[in-house]
Amino acid sequence: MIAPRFSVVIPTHDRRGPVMRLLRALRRLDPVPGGFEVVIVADGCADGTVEAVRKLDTAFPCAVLEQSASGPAAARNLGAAHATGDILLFLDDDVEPRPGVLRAHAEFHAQVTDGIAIGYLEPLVTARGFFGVVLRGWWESMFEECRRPGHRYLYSDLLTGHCSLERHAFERLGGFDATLRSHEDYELGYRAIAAGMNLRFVPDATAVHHETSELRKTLRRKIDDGVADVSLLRRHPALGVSLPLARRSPPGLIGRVAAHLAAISPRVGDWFATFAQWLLPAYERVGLRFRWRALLEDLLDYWYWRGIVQASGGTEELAAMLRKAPVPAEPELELDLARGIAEAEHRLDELRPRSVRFVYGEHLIGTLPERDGAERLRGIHLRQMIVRHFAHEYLRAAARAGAIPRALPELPAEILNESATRPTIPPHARPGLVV
Amino acid sequence: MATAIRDVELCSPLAAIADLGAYSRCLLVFRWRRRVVGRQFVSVFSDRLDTGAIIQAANQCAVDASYRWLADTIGYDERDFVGARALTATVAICTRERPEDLSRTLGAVTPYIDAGHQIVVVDNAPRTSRTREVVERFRGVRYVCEPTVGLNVARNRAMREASTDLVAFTDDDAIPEAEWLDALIANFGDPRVLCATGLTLPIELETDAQELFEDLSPFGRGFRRRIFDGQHDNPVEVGRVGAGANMALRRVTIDLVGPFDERLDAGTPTRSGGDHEMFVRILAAGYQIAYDPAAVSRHRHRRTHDELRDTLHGYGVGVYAMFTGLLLERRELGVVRLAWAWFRSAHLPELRRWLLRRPPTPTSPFILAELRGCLHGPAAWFAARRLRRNADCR
Repeated sequence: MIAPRFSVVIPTHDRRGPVMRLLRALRRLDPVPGGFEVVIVADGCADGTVEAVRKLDTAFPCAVLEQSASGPAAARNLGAAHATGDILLFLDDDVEPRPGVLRAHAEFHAQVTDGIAIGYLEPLVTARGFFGVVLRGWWESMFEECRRPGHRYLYSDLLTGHCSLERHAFERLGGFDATLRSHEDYELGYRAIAAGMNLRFVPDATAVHHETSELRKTLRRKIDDGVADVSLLRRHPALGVSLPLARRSPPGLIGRVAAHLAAISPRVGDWFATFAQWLLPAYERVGLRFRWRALLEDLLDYWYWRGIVQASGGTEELAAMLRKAPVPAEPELELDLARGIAEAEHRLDELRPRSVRFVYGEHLIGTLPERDGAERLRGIHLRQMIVRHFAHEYLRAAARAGAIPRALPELPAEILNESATRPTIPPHARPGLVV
Repeated sequence: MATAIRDVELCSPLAAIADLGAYSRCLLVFRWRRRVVGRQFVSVFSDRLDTGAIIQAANQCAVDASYRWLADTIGYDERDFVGARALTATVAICTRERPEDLSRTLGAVTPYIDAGHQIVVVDNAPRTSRTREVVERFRGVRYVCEPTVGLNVARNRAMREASTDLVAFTDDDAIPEAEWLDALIANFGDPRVLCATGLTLPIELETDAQELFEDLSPFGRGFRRRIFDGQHDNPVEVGRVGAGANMALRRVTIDLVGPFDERLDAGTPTRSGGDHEMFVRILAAGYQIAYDPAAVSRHRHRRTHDELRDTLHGYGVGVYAMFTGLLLERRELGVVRLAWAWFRSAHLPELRRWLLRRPPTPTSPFILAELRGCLHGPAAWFAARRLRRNADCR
């Protein structure tokens, strides 16, 4: 088998310092048999990035392309179009790959066909205080579920800050949607999963992410997220239930008031939000951590809803879009867990259903409905699904079927007699600090 | 009369427990395939407990036992993470002039050497050579002498001496079980976890003082694994996180959140609180602490009333000294509410009883000793700070 050649595609906009740092880190990469090239796309740069990169003496081929400011999605598409390697490795300009990155990506693609490798971005946060803590926690939480062996990959797991896929697969997917200014990675992830591609987290592919976001900028970027989520909903109506906007309005009185203001009077809402933002440092000075956190969440919600209203035209229009989401179909498969976990896993791997009903003999455990934007089920998902979503139901069904060993104490009545159906899918996370 | 302690393995056929003639109570520790799933005190009326009484006592741990059965049946371990690599650990025992206890602890931990781990004994400000002599009897155990007195000084020395990924701390009066170290290590698959703590059970409850300690200040924190996350949990509420007698830290913890505060804990005027202050900083920085009841260690509680009174007084001093430091240096206003909540639930009823001259309960003198310690805590913190500054100047 011929060793693949990598094309490292880096979009950048007026960040000469970080780009030079990244290029120096690329010099230190462990070599891979197929080698690599670098394609830098200067997206409307006016800070001398292009000249600085051209002057730099690199040991690897390094092309610099220029385009008028069109956004990172268009820049990545341009870079990919000029790439000659077999595998595209997308890196953001504020990351610094560890030496073993290429080797880890190469090993992944040698093992997984039609795969998209999601690399780990180790956050190096410059912000101090409560915001720094929240920002780092938010970055780490993005990889939390991916680290679990039984994770069922979602469209939103794809992060273009550090990912790789075969160039032909990227072309087949049609590249990024260049009209999106935010969440273009999620949109590509959606199409990749729909096309049957395999998203996987590759923990050994690590790059340090120099996170320099400021609170003010982070809040304003939530508008872009709101706009992007409306665009995602327009393109893929079935995603409606998975997007944060499907909650219709944020939890809590202040959040609801803020969302209402965003809809009826953005000017007043902006004024309130700006005023409330001044309270954050005051809370931090006296150590009111939870009040600070709650206010931040409300502000994030406000700016997110500002973007949603701006892009959708109003809450009524948004509701009309959400109504277009299809009704989940009946489960594609029924699995009897009384026959053993190994057999159930085997059937999931064989049939790869979108939805499944679990039973234990003649006793119902629960139903995992179809979820748009999530990969088809695999055997490896099963154990985690049972423990995290159906533990009580499994125990109850096993007890009724007489499968629990007699030596164990009898389950309490509140579990045995529970009749209400528990949620089958965890609720969608609150919109995070998307930066 | 004393309390017997007996393990009950639920996956084996239950049998009556005999030879309890010397005891009025029995602490039953329920296990499912070695994992502790619950415990229950049972009164002993004859010299044995029949299976009926054991089954009845076991009912309170039905849910936890069933969850363990479920996890075993389907083969699921929530501690598994993609790409988690094998981590190495150093078991650190900080000790001071307790050679008999240390010998027993070393006997329990030296088998970890065969699994590729290391063991270091930090002899803190020794007055005799007895600790060194005990260590020399155990092959593969490293002896380090730390001349500056203070448990947190010794802990920092252990962190600096270690070359492994993790440092696991056990007290010199504790006996970790065979699975203890592996169970702690298993919690570090997630890079956000900086610290893991385990379940500490008593070795013996042979004296009145030991029984009272178990009632007043049990080390156990429940039988379900729990993640304390600095992103969501209140960082100053660390009483439920665990204790320094049974904990492991990533070695990089001291780079990320700083070393143990050498003004706190045994050997200083503050007498305790050094482990909890580290927990606070880990959580306040947004990292995680895992509490895992699979990591079981047995602790020998103080045997006499005087020792118990002194220990609880020390806890009071240490906790309020820690609160003082957190309030003045980190502006953690949450400690005020916490201090009030503790006073109201634990100390105020006892204070009221004392003021109204009502007859004391068996625990009254010890709770009042703890309260006296609390009142002394802030002054102890200032005294410890002054001593540390003087030492730094020298």
